[in-house]
Order: sequence, then C-alpha cells, then structure tokens
Amino acid sequence: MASRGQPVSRVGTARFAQFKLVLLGESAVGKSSIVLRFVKDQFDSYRESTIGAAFLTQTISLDDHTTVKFEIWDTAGQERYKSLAPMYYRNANCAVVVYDITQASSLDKAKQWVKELQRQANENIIIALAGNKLDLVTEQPDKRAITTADAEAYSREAGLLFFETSAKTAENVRELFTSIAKKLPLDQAGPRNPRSGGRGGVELRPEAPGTQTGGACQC
Amino acid sequence: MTKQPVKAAQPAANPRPVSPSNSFYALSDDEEGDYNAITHSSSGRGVKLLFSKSKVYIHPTPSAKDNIPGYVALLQQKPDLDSRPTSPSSAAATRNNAASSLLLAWLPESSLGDALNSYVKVDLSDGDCPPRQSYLVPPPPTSTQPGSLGHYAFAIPVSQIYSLLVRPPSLGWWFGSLIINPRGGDSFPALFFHDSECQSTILQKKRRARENFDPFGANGEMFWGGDEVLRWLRRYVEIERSGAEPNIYLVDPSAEDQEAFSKPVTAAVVRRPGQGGATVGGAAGAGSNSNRPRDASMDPVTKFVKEAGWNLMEKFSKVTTFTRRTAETVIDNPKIPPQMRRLLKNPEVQTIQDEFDSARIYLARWAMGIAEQSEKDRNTRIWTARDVLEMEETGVGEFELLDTEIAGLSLKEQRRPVTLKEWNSFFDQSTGRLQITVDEVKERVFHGGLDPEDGVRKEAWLFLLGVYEWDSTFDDRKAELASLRDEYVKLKGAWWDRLIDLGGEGEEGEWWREQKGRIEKDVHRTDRNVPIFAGEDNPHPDPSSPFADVGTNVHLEQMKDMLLTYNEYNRDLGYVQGMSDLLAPIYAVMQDDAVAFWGFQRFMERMERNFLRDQSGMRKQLLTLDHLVQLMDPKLYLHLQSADSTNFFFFFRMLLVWYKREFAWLDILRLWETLWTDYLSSNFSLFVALAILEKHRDVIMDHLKHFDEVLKYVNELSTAIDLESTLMRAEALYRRFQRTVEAIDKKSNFPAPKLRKRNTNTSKITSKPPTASSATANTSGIDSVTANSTHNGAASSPSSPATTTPTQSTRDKGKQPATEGRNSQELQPQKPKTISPELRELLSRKVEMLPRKVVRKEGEGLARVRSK
Repeated sequence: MASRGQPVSRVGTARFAQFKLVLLGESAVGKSSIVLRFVKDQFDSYRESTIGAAFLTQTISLDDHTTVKFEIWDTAGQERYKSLAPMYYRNANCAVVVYDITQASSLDKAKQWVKELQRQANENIIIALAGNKLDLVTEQPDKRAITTADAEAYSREAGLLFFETSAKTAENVRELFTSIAKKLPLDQAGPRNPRSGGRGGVELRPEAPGTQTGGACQC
Repeated sequence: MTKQPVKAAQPAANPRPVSPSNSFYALSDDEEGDYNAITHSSSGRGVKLLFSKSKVYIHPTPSAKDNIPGYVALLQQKPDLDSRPTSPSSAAATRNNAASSLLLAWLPESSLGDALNSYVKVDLSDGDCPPRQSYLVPPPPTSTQPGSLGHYAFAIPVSQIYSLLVRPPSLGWWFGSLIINPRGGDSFPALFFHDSECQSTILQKKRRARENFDPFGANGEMFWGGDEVLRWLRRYVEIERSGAEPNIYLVDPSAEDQEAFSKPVTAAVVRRPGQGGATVGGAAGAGSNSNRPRDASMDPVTKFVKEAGWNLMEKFSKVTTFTRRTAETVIDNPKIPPQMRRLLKNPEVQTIQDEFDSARIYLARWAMGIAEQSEKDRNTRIWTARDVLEMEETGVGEFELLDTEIAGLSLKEQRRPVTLKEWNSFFDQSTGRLQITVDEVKERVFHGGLDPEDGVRKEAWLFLLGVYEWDSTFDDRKAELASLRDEYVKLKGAWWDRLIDLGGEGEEGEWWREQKGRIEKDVHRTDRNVPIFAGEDNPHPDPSSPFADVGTNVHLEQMKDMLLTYNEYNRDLGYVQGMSDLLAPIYAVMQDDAVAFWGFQRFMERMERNFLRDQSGMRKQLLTLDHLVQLMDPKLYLHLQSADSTNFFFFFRMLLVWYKREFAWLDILRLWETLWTDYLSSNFSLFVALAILEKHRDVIMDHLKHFDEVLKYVNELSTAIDLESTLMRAEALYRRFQRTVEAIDKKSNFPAPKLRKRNTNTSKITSKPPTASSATANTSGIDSVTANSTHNGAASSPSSPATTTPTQSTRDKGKQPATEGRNSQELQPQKPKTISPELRELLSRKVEMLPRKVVRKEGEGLARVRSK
C-alpha cells in the first residue's frame, strides 16, 4: 500500500492534516443526514436514499493551530450494496458506524460493521459509534429501543468512540467529528501538499471478495 | 461595561502635537523594558512603530490617478504598552492611558523618507503582536482634526477617536475603507485599502488560507486590510461594534454611547432586517469564533457571494447566454453583465482563482453551467445545423452533423413532442391496430419525446414498456388490462396474509419485516417534492410504523403496496434500494396502481441486472463504458486512467437508476421514454453517459486529477445537465460509434485496406434505424482486428485503439468530420483495435434479460431465504 493518508503539515506552528472517513450502517439510520449536518449544517427530512456513494469534505479547527480536513465517503446502507463497502473503508483512517436508537435491529447491523472493520480495515482505524435520531426520543422517550448505557458498554468493550446524535437538531454532530479528529495521529509529520504525499486514497477497484469478473478482457 | 470612558477630554482643535507622555508616566506602574529610546519621543526624536500597513490610499478625487498611496500605522509614544497591568483594578486606567499614548496615523509613502524602511519591515513582520525589535520612526505631526496639517497626512491619538466607520470590500465599491471620526470635528478622509497591492495582506490571506483551507473566515467573511486595523486597536482599547449601525465601531465608548447605538453586538451574528438571503450557512458560526464580535462583515451582496460559495455566480450565469468553457475566458466576453465583470476583476476573486484548486473547479463548473444554460436557451428557438455543430466542439473531434432531415422532417420538427392527437393517428381508428411501423413510432418518440401535458404518456408508456403488444387491437388491450388488474389484486392478496402475523416466525418472517420496513422508509423519501407524493395529511394506517407520527398520503401507501407486491412477485430478487426511484415516475404517470405495477414489472425485467448482490450487472455496464470511452475518446481515457478513475464508478448512480437523481422530474419522464424505445441501442443509457462525459471532458482533463475529485464533480452535476442537448450528443456519439465498428469490421474482412478517398457527399442518414444486419453482421467471432495505418490514422496515445473516424466504411453515412490536428498523429504505430463483445452488444437493440438462475443466485429475495 502506498503511504498512509494522513499528511500533517506544519506551517509555522500551525498543523494541517487530512483524513479519510467512511460512514457505514443500516439504511435510513441517518448517515447522509449526519454528513449533511456536519458539512452544510442543513437537515432534510425527505433526504433521498444514497445510491453508490457520495464524497464530501469538511474542515474543522481543533484549536488555533490545528486544522483537520475530513474526506468523507458516505455509503449506501442496504445489505445489497455491501460488496461495495470495502472500496470505501479499505484505506479509511476513521469510520463512523451509525445506528438508529429507535430501531433495535440497526445496532445489530452496526455491530456487524464494527466487526468487519476491525477484521478487514486498516488496523489503526478509529471507529466511532453514533446512535442517531436522538431528537425522536427527546420528544417521546418511549420510542427509544436502545439504552444509552447498553450502547456505551458495547462501545467501551469494542474500543469505540460513542455519541448519541441528532442530525435533525445538530446535537453532538460536531462533537462526534471533533472527538474523532482528536484521536487521529496528528503528530506525524507529512508533506505540505496533501495531494503530493501519496494519497492513501479510497481504492476503488470494484472487486468484492469472491466475485471476480475479470479484467478488461472479459470474454 | 464598568469602564467610564472619557469623552472629549481634549480640546477639539489642537494644532500642536499632543504630548501625553508625562501623564502616562505619572500613572504607569510599569517602567520596565528596553525602551530607552522612548524617553526621547516627547522631544520629537522617535516613536515606536507598532503596526503598519502599506497601500492604504486616499482618493482625493474620483480619478484613480489622483490616488495617494500611503501607510496606515499605529504608533506608540511611550513605553511598552504590551505588559499587563499588575492589578485588575488598574486595567481600565491603563487602557485609557494606552489610548492616549497611541497614535493612529496615515502618512503618504512619499513623506516617509528614511523611515520607509521601518514601515515596510513592520508591515511585513507577520504576526499578531508588534515586532519584538523596536522600530523607531520620526513622530508624525499629530492632529485631532482633519485638514489642519494639509496634504492629508494625519496622526490622531487613539483616545481622540470617537468611532470608526468601516466599509469592507463590496461589489459596488471595491476597496474596503475606513473613516475615522474624531471626538471633535470632522471626519478624516476615507482610507482605502488596496489589498491586492498590499504585500502583508496578501501574505496574511495566504496564511489563513493555508491554515483553514478556506479563504473565508468561519462566518463567511473575507479577510481584508481593515480587519487588521481593528485588530491592532483591540489590543489596546475597547472597540464596540454598534448594534444599530453595524458599520460603526465605537472606540472606548461610554455607557451612553453604547445606549445611543443600542446594545453592542457581541456573540450574536449580526443580522440586519431584510438581509435574510445573506444568512446562508450559519453552520460554522457555532464554532470557535462565536464568542468574538464579528469584525466588519461584508455587505450583504458580497457576503452572499462568499457564503454561497460561488452559487451566486452560477445564478448570474442563468441570465447570460454565451458559451464559454472556462472562467478564464469569461471575463473577455462582452455579454457578461457588468456586476459579474466587476466581480471577476476583483482582486479577491482573482486571488482565489490563483490560489485554490477548488475555486478553479467551481469556476470551471460555473462556466459549464453557463454553457448548459445557453443550450437550454437555444432549445427555445429553432435548432439550426450550425447550432449543433457549434455545440459539438468536443475532444473527440467535431461531430458530423446529424442529418438535418429525417424522413423529410427538419431537426426542429423531429424533436417536436408527440401529442396525444399524433399518437392516436398512428392507430387505426376502428380496430386500434398500429398502422405505421413500430420503428416509425419509436423514431418519433426517440427524437421528440411525448407531450408532457396531454396524457399521451399514460397510453404510450404501456406500449414502450411492453405491457401492451405493438400489434394489439383496442379489444386486446382492454382484455389484457382487465386480466392484469385481476392478477395484481391476487398478488397483493398473497402478502396481505402476512400482515396478520407480521410476516410470521423464523427467517422468512424476519426477512419480510425487514423488507417492509425498508420499503416504507424508502417510499417516504422518494420524490417527495413531486406534488402527488408531497402530502402527509392522512393518518398512518399502522400505528406501530415509524412513520405513524408524520402521516402519509394515498399515493405513498399505493407505492408501498406495489413495492411489497413486487417484493413478493419477484421472489428471487426482492425489493432493493433504488427500485422506488424506478417506480415513482411510472406510478405518477399512470396514477393507477395495478397498471403502474405491471409497467414497473416490465421495466424491472431489464433493470434486474442492476440490483444483484454481486453487482455483476452494474460492473458489466461500467466495463462497457470503459471500453466505449477507450474507443471513442482515448485522450480522455488516458486522463481518467491517470486519475484512477477508469472503473467509471462515478457513473454507478446514473446507470443504476437511469439518471433519476441527475435530472429534474419532467426530464426523467422524457429521458426514460427515449431509452425505452431501444431505437438505436438497448444500451443507449451508456451513450448518454458518454455524452455527459464528453460535455465535461475539458473540465475533467484540466482540473480533476483524482478519483474522489472526479466522483465529487460528477455527483454534483446532478440537476445541472441539459437533457435535450445531451440526447442529441448521445445520438451523434452512437452514430459515430457505429461507423467506427463498421470500419474496423470492414478491415477485418478485407485485410489490406486501400485508402479510400473520402466521400463528402454521401447519402444522408435515412429515417430507418440501424438494421439488424448492421448490428449483427460482423459477429462472426472476430472481435479483435488489426487496423494498419490509414491515411490519417489513430491518435497518438499508445493505448488508444482508435480514432477511426477518418476511415470511412463504404456505407459511409454522414459527413466527414473535420480532421485538422489529427494528421500530426498519423505516424504513430497502430495498436490492434479491439471491438470487445461488450462493445458489440451496444449495437444491439435487443433488451438483455437475465436468466432466472442468475437472479436466483444473486438476488436476495424470498427464494434465497427459503433455500437456506
């Protein structure tokens, strides 16, 4: 693999680092909505399902001297598109695995993703678990299907960052990304130009395990 | 505010330099420091230069040639003000003293003499603090009133400044300016910050851009020279922004001043009434800067430009009608609106243009938006052959003209939508049998589309989708429809039983509940901006649904039923995300669930391959696109290769749901009916992809160097693509592709080709679609042929199989494309040209359907669950 994708540059005392982040999780748990909130500070109740993948970027300042740019790959949630996921997480530095706190089954899916990431992805990948749709239970506490304590306990056990978020109200969304940024290896020096430093890159060779369709000369 | 600022402590007119140093010494408890030189300051030998900024002009007349360049500077007449007061109680007093010991000055460059060097150095000493080293300069003549010294130069004790009127750079008045209002007397002349000439401002901007990756501040304001002056002053005195008049900053205001100017604005973002449009994206405002008063924010228009991230430019583009490919050339265009010209000439904009890749891409896309719009505009008038020709200046060489006449119809007539009246005229009025050929009907729909208003789609789509047979009669169709309705009710009944026990036990039950939940979620987020799907006034029938609170409408419920029925009907495949996108237009046109279901079911027969678990169907299409680009535009292909983008994954979404997310609703209806005709190719959707790619090839080749950039760019084309011109381009590309294949096949049949003189007056394209022979004639197992060099052979790139256009087949259709620039390439050795099976299939009009066993294996429907 080419050099890893977290170039950190120092300009005077300022640091600039760039990381790849992938969002995973069951469909309709709010992955795209979390990204939309984080990147554009918007929310759309009728946001259409993601097909293929979306790529967005957002830059945050950790402090006066440290700037982190996230390159975010937002993926489609349905199982059917699972074979595409490795393309996105293969070189990701961090992942946000999202579930819906009002849907018990979505946490099971999230746990599967965490397992897969821990097995298949970059070994230093930083994983955050996000229990989304916090606004729903704030209005109606009985809608909650997964307690904070349970998810927290699981996260501790699996070594994940954990937040309950609401893309709708923006609660904890920025915090989620900020805490990821803080855990990333900012101290590694790197070339000034993020583009020149070998892009760890999301490797988009469409090949899922066991489904080789051959190269260009498929006959 | 506890402090009691002193107002008008000095006589209004004081021609003599103010010399407050004695009083300072009396009050100060701070005499440390290496500032011996300062003892001379009161005797006029030197003052400490804390900050300075170059290229600050006074504009004495409206004529630019009278402008006087100078320095604005903050000077200190006494020892180190930087040291903190020793006790909190003395803070205010120290600050006041600071104010009176500081001078804010403007001095013309020409007056500085030997001191110029110091001013330059201090200007360029990067940083938030005054330079460590003391720079002493001759004390400027002090005045508290403008004009008293003549020649515009002035220096005013900061304590004498009542307020600052700050105007950040704006559209109409490009240079940001600062006007100093003294406590007594008239204002000083406005200082104009020519930031583009000011080295320190440029450096500052670059530094900020480097650090934040964004030329704009967290609140969307842009850094400019005047900000610096406010920042200097804030180090020493209280600066309050007036809430009533946001351009006014009060210097050490008294309580009553603050009252008079209403509350000082601190944390809150300033929002002036009637400025709603300018408050886009307060997102970042919640960040680190929110506790700081906002510095002189820009005027609404400029701010909007900045905040909207060039969206405004794209808006401007909507009112222009010219075609240019890149923003660099935009500025030369005489048709550009003046406000846009000003904007582009603005140094800020140019700076961004120079410095940021992303801005470059924005601008390029913006220019593309203009081109796109101009194509739309042209659609409203008569298309001429010349228009088409102009439109097609792409990298694959100029396209041959599409023949301007097909079956005696002009281009304009060809592309006139088929109305219900015309549609009905295709059929025998008594029997309802089609009385022209199917291809004639398809040709009309392919080129003209169907009238969106008169309901013709409701009938015609059933033919195009295959619900009705083309050779059916009225009676046949009536019977067919009746039986399909019955069938739908039965199918629906099959899963209604499941509702009782919610799908039942075990894996099957679990699968069903999951599918049901997924369908519901997807239906509630499919095309909700289309009126029939928008409402939410019906209570949800199922109180346990996650959507029970938001309500529903009858069409959403019908959508769910149809998809659940399909999920049950196609047990091998089941429901997959994306299908709701394919159903919505059909249902919206039919507005009849049974009929729409069957239309959808037929549509799915060809789309099934897109929804397999192993993505093999999608991959095959992307691979075919790969081959197609390789053949048709080798240069672009090489570029995409260098950008790791030849997987063409950025077309995944477009191909999966047939551009549903890329075009507006009405365009989708038009596009799909075109594709359903299979008039030229059953994979015409790939030529649409090629057309989109060709349209954007310059931007892609000039600006996009990495896969993620390409994907982002292509994703963001969504809703910005002009359909009509794309379809025309796609057709031209298809014809060109067809000829290329024919030419290569010809050579394989006649190995040593003789050079043919070009036929420029060959027959025109007939109204006939490609015959079956042209699609299948040369499939005799020879897929790879070697084309030896021809008179103006292939492109230079080694992997470029063909720019074979020059080699015309004997069945030469259309005119020879311009070949300039190609002859230089003719000496390149030729590589074998390959027409892969994938490419050859593109010539077929037969819709490929998957064998059931493939669907069974790679589907994830009920059949799979049961077989576990």
